[in-house]
Amino acid sequence: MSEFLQFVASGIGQGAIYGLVGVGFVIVYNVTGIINFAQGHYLMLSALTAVSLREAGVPAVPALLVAMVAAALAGLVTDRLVINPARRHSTLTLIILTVGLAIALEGLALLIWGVNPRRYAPFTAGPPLEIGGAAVSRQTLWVLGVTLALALALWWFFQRTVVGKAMQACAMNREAARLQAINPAQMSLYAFTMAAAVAGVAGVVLVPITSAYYDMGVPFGLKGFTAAVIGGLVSPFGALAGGLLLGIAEAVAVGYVSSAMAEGVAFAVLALMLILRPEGLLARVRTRWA
Amino acid sequence: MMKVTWLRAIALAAAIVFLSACAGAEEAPGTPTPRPPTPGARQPTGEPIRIGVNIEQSGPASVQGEAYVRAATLWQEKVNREGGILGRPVELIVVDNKSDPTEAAVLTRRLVQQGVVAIVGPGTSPTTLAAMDAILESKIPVFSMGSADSIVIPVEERPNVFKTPFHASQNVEAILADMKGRGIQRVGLLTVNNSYGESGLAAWREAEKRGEVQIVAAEKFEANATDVTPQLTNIMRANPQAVVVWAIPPGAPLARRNAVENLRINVPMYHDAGAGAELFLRLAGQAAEGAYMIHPKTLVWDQIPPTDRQYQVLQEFGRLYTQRYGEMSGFASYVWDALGLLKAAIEKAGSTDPQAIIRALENLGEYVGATGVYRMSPQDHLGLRAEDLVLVTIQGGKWRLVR
Amino acid sequence: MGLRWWGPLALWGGVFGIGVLLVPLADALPFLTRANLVVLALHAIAAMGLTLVMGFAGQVSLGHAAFYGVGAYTTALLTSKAEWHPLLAMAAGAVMAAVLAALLGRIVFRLRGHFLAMATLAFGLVFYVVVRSWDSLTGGNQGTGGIPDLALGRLRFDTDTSMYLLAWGVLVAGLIAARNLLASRPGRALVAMGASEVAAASTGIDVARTKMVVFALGAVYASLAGSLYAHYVKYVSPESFGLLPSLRFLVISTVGGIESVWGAPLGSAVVVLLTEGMRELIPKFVSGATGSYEILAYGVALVLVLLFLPRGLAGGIAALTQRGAEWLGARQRRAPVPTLEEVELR
Repeated sequence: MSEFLQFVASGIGQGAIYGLVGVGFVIVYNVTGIINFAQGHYLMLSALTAVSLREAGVPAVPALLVAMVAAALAGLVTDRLVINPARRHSTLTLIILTVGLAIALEGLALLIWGVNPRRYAPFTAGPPLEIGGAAVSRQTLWVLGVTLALALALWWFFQRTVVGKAMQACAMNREAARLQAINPAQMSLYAFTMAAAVAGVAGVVLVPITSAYYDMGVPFGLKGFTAAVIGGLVSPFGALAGGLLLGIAEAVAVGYVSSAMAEGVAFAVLALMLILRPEGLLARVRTRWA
Repeated sequence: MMKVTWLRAIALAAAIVFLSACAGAEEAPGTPTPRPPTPGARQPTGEPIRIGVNIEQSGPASVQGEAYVRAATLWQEKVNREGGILGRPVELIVVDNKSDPTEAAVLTRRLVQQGVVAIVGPGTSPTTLAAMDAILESKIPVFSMGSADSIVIPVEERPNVFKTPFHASQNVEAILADMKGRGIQRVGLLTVNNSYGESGLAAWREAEKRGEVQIVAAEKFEANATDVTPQLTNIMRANPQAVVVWAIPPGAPLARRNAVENLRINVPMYHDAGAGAELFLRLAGQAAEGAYMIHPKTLVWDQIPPTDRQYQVLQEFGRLYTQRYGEMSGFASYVWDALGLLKAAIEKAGSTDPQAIIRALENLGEYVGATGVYRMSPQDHLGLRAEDLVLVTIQGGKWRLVR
Repeated sequence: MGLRWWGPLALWGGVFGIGVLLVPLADALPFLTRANLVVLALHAIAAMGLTLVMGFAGQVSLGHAAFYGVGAYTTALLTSKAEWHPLLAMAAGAVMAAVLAALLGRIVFRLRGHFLAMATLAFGLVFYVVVRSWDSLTGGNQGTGGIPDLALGRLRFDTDTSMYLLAWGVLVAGLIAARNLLASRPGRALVAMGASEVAAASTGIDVARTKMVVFALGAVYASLAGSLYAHYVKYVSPESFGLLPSLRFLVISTVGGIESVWGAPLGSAVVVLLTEGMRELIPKFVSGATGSYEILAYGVALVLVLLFLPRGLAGGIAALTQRGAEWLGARQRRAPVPTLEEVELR
């Protein structure tokens, strides 16, 4: 039993990250109808930026903040330079555009940061904590804490602020929202920036656990998307829950079945979800983002 | 409308190119400022001797690839400073096979077309094996840094192929020797799920068949895994007396971190020679303390006593490499030695005829390299012995020789 | 083509001739080798399959390299282990790829747009993982070798040049097949479907079935190219069939233009030239890793082409010739055909 808990403990940290990336997919998709294949790459950008800043001697808090802002900026630039000019184009074109963006970001990262993975120390030093017979590293607790805080912040944003409610309106019915003088192009900008910012947060808390490397965008992007799909692509909180489920499923599959499963699990889950239940496992949370 | 978008795109493209140009320029920390020639050595003249370097500079194997290219560049400068080979300058043609098997094969043919007398690389098993037909067709001497035994075995089918890193089986032999001293019989294995890890796993299974060890648990993990705690949990459940991790970074330091930070493992953990040098330390951080690694002496080059046969070579290589690049790399010596062996063979043969070089390599006698002492022969295209490996550990954030 | 039989012959003979001329061109350029030409032709064949799927069936596939892999591995295993004749093995590979594509299509074509894209991506990766894990069959991570040369009777294709000419010949055959297909009745149905699925369905075209057939056809193109690849390199390993190769095919198809069968060869030529040219030029200006520039170039090329030349090079050239013809007074100014972007409702 305790090894099951240990598997859960390992999976939950990863899963929270998948969930955060997935939140980005959900927000962008719902507001604009676009799946941004480069979503995972914002995580990569913030992770590597944070590492560079720390290596240059910048103290922890400013370095992380700057990195997160950098990710958000990248999202903003994505919307303005890549998405906006192509808004009228076909779905096919948009898909290939974001794929191209992802490739370009990865190439850029390779040029700037090189091939070697890099890392900085966990936020708080110390041995892992014993919880129910399983060892949970402190950084994992940070990840979970940050995720929870972000979830609350998102809830507040979508429920209590005008912009947040406008974005929800866009998500529910774009034409009607336009009639209410909500500008879809502006909403799109907010959506992309927010999605990238959330991924950016995930990136900076992830580095002590997995290191930062130039090609981490694709795997995290894919798993984030899977998390979003499990949640039905309708609600950011569904994505978070989906991510946790995916992370735990991965760890359990690796632990009990075989380690080759690790990669296959996410892809298989994605494939199965898309075929069997595209509306997601948690589809009840459909109309409101709370 | 179109005009504005054109402008934007041009701005974007220009920014990217500018950024990458800057980045590229900074990325090469040691853009070589040629040092003055060694006094007394004649400036090399005449038709340059071209050696191809077919390396994984990008893609999954780029961690080693970077070290290999650095070693090659350093070696070329040194040799040209000291008068070249047979009085002729050495020219390296460096190509990036992107860790892609097709590229590796295609580039091999391209290098041959460009008139190289020998090739160093590819640097991994999949790329080498994919390029094998091209390599064999070329009939020129080729040094691979891949781990698979099948690169040079059976020798009859690999007449012009050589390798410089130790065989996986030799790594295993060295680890077992240490374990014997500690009375360790039961071992848990964690190997990376690619050809590198497979060769290690196969070597351990061989040892088990010979009754030298008992493998109580064997788990695998993906090269890009971000957490291996489940696998380690399973291994520890089988109660091993030691854990062996067979992987390169970032897998190797990841395993160490998970073991120490998440599970607080209390049995000795061994890594094979591929676990990397400074990269391992940087990525494992505090968790690296107390880890064991079996490795050529290069990691602890400054702790090897003058009585050791490799002392001179290690001092020269260690000093040159760390002066230029700041830190030692566990991989770099494989290329340093490959090139050194080629030079020795060309000088012994007195010519750059490929067949002559191959025969000279096989009859070179002893060649003292940084990795070990090579004794190649027509039957052995590696020529190293497990005795040249040493056990190192990490103390105070630095590599320390154990024995 | 209103000309008689010698019209098409001249056309295709000319196309083959261009292929032959590329050989001395490659020799003349210091950074291009005949080996590059082989890769150019093989990728063009595979990408042509993708063009049919994307441009004419309107479906995106981000896992196309999986079919390339099916062809390569089937050839590898049947010729090295079971000693089948290469042509038979190639046919077997094509059949397998078609069957797999049909199955996949049945499952996946219910999905639309982005979801379809993601699903194909996922399946491509599942294939990659399965190949790596199924050690006993595929050799797992190490891959498998010992593939014999392709020999037909007394013709042996064991040099770069011969393999390239063969591949180019197959490419020409593929072009002919594609053009004939599009001119035929089912082909015209395809084009109609590309313009508007709703309209096509209303004329009795079985949209779902047509999509699947095209998908299978695209897979066959990729599989044939993969089989040739296996005979060329004589070693197959999973790395050649993962995400990056799928993306490369995507880049080739898109840059070349998905609305025309000429897009794939054009795109492949551009990608090869770009890659090799950069490999040669960049180190002269900037010291540092050379391979990294390629990834960046793919991305930038893709984004730029889509923003400014959404119909790709082939489309751009077609537009130029159209304008030229109008300017010369040879053709009436034509109202632009409604394209997918205008028809699609959000």
